[in-house]
Amino acid sequence: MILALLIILPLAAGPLAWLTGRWSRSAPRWISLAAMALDLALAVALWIHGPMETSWGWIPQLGIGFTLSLDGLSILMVALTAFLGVIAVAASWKEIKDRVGFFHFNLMWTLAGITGVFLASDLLLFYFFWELMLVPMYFLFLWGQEKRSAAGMKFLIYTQSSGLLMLLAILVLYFMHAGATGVYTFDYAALLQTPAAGPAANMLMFGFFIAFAVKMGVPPFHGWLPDAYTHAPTAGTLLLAGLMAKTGAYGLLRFVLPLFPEQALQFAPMGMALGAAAILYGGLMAFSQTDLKRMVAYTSISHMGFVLLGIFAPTAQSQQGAVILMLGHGAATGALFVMAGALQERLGTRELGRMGGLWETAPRMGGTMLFLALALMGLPGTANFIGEFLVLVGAWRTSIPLATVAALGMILSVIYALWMIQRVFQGPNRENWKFPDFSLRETVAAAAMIGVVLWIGLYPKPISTAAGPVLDRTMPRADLSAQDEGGEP
Amino acid sequence: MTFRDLLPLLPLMLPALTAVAILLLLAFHRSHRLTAWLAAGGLAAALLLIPFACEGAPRRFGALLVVDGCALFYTGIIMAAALAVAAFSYGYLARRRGHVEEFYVLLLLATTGGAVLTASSHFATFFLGLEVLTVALYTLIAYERGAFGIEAGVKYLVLAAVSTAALLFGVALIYAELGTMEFSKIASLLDAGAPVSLLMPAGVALILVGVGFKLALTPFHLWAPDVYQGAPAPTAAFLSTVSKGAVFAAAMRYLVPLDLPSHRSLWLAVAALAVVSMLAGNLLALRQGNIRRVLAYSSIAHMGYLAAMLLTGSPLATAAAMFYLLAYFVTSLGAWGVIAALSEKEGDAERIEDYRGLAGRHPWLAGALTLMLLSLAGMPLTAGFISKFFLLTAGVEGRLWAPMAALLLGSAIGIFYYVRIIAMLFAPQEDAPPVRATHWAAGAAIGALVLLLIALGVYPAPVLAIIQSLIAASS
Amino acid sequence: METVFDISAVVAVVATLMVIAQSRAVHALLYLTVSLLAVAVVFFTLGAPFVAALEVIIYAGAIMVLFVFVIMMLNLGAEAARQERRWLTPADWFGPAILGAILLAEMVWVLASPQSAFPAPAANDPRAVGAALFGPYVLVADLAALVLLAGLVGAYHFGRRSAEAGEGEAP
Repeated sequence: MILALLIILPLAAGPLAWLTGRWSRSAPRWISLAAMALDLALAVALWIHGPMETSWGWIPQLGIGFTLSLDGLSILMVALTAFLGVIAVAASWKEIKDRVGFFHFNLMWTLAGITGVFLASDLLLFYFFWELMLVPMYFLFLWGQEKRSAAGMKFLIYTQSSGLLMLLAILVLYFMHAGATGVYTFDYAALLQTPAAGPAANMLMFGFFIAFAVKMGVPPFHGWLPDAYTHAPTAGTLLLAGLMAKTGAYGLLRFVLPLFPEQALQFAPMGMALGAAAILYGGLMAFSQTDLKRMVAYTSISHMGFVLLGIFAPTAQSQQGAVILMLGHGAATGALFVMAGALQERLGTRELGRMGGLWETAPRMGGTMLFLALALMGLPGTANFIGEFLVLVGAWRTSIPLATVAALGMILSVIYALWMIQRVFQGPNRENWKFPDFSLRETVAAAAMIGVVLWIGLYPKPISTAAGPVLDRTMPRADLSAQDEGGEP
Repeated sequence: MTFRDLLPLLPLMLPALTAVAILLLLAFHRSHRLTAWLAAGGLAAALLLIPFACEGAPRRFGALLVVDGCALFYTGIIMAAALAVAAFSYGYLARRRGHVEEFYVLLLLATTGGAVLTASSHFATFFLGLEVLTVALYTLIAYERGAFGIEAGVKYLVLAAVSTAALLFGVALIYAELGTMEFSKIASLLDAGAPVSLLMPAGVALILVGVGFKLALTPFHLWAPDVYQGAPAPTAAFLSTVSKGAVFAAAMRYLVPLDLPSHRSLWLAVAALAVVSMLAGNLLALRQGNIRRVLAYSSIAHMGYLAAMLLTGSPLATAAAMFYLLAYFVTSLGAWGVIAALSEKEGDAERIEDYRGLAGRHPWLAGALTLMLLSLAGMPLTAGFISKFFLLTAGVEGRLWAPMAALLLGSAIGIFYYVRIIAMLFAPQEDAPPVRATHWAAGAAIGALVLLLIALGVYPAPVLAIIQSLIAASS
Repeated sequence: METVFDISAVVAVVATLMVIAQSRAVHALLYLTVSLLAVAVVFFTLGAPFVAALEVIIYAGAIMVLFVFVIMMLNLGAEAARQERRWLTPADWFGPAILGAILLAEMVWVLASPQSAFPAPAANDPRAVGAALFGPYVLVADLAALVLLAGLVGAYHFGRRSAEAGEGEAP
């Protein structure tokens, strides 16, 4: 019941916010903030409490249960969701002025869907939440920038059609399991036992992989991403980059590798190559952008490339690195998008060419941005450093050339991060921008995100103790890593 | 024949009796309100009788009708749908001038025809049920007698007549071959390996043409968009639900005992019809600027999805089809109900552009339409999601790879045009025309449909249990 | 008997095509009568004399009279009478007449041929038909009545057109 509460809180806050939005503009904000804060508190309490599982019947005729389970990996993601949920409400406090109630309804329901994805332990329930977050997310685009409707449509079509592929794969898996054992069930724990074999299993793995890769924005499945990240409202981009991309990575860790161990190991070099390609592609594309949000979007592709590389390496270090990077990226890149949103709110533009010399006017913003740029390039002491370092160490043991390519990507990230700071805050203030610096609300939000990045960067142990055992238990390991690590099963 | 014997037949008879009663009333006194109440009362009584009728089921009435659980299920949703259509009609017709009472008479007659179709076990009742439905629909479609209405009515008349001729000819060929018109005897003769010549597949193919016309499967769909555009909105609601649902139920009853998978060429023909309908329906819907035409093409695609369920004949597929039909009824009625509620004295709100900013002007109707469109697109929390999932499950079970691939492709295309309308609903609009209040009957019907839509989407297990027990009882 | 069947079937098809091709209702009716008569002959050759008789009496007889009656009611006045005279050119009645003559020739030939040439009539005398219709097939008879009712209500609705137009203009 407590697990369901994590989902019910935002789910209930949504309609409440919508209703109260008819009379008051601030009520929906406070309601959403309270719901997400409670969610966060609950998540932290559960983190301390340890793993949990609840199960109710849903459609028993087909073996579908309303099964939620919380382990070390999912609690990290749920906590990140609640945390970024709070930030998202805070970031849109001033930005959203019309239809406030409806906006918060969609925000809450997207968050509920994402939380559900991280908790579901029944494949159909997972798919249900996977799809549930799409429509409210699409509606969030209503408050977006210029090309919002096209961007929203692109997002919806990409994610929905890839999701359908996954549904097909889930169903085939369901019948394969039933054929092998005579038990019709969508239960994750039961399906883990399915001996998936043959070319069919390969197809199934791709069904899952494509759905997750689309959400992560791995090239060549990233067509929707730059537009969506650029033209969504700040809170929307925060959710897209900070959380939805993570649902893809989480899906890889939770489903693709454990359900299809042999196939995934065969596919691993391809997956790593795709990751390395994403790192380079994202980094290079980031250079050629003139739009701040779009540029951050491409750095996000690059970072998710690291995550992909780490996941498919597939060593214990690299996967832990991937998890840490997911959290760090969620906080750091999320903060960058909030920053971009704040700048746009003040300047009315996202064009890098029109910015410059803003430090004078807004030193607090400049300081925040500088820190985020350092995190972006993976400076020691930030979460990104730990994550990328672990990923590289793990990848180095599987494939030296790909690790080298990824390391090149790190160099790229140093260049574009510094270049970004240079364009926005240094140099001459050609257009004589004058605007208020971060308000108290924004300072607190930024400080919280910086705090998380620093905390993980300096003391990542809680993360690895939470996620490590789960990964070791469910992940297939390549032979070489098993030899290296000796006692690992 | 005692009352107990007659009880299973009562739900089928009540609408027809109500129609006659209304006609008698009209000879003395014309009142729109009284007529509507009578019609609704008759339909509601039929609906309420169904649980009692179930106790007497299954019951055969000669060789002509079999009233079993499945037939009563279909009859039930047909009655409920007709009730919703009647609710939409009241507000819609009250804004029109001229006599409106005959609309309800024809609606009741058409409903009777549909109900008879679902229980038919003989070509005679199959054909006559179809004819009652069709002949009543001619007038219902052209009821407003505007230029578009008449065009739609004539188009439907001509094409329906052609399809009926094809169907009758098919029936004649099968009779010539096997010497019987009873579905069960045909199936048992074929099972016993009765020698058949080419007449048999030719006859079945001709019947498929007739059924395909009624379901508007591609390539027999040409009438659908024009008729949906020209007919009054409540008629269109009826046409896309009751008319199609009844014919599909009858087709299911007739094709499943035939064991389609063992007749390769027939199987291929149905599969081709299904796949082409899914793709053509969705692709053609993309370029429409009129919401009625979008719904027409979408309905073609949905019938394609359903037709795929005829291909396996497994209990799961039958259950999936029944659930899908129920969900489709709810969704389609809801969407047409909103269109009917938004109609004006002269013409309806039908261009997609007319719906710009509806969310600001009329949040409840816009919300209902959004939910209906999301359900058509198969989004979670709506009946459409669960029903599409059931369909896919049954399809994967039956290894229908090509139809399922077409279903996925069609669904992906479908998102685009459904969401385009939703985006229009929520687009900003400055000079909002004044909002007219929805009649309470239509409002209540739409509200009930929305609740049902969400209930089916969130917790479908009870309904699925009922459907499965019905299938188990009648097989 | 085969030949009789073939010839009358061809006559039926040709006459029906001509029904559709006519632009004037009265001329179409002429062909329709011929078509129905030809169908009656087809039924007769198939061994269903009772149905053939019904076809002649009800369709070619009663229903045709109704049609003609309605058309006559629509065309009133001297102008209409003159128009009718203009329409009744040999070209118009020649076609139906020839087709009718073919059917007549068939009838004469059938009457002249020996009894054994006819197929034995099936057991479908009026009594049997009536018993079947109101016995096991009573539901079918009811449904057929509903079809007619639906058609009737529809015809009534469309038929009120002129009165309706007047109503509409009043306010």
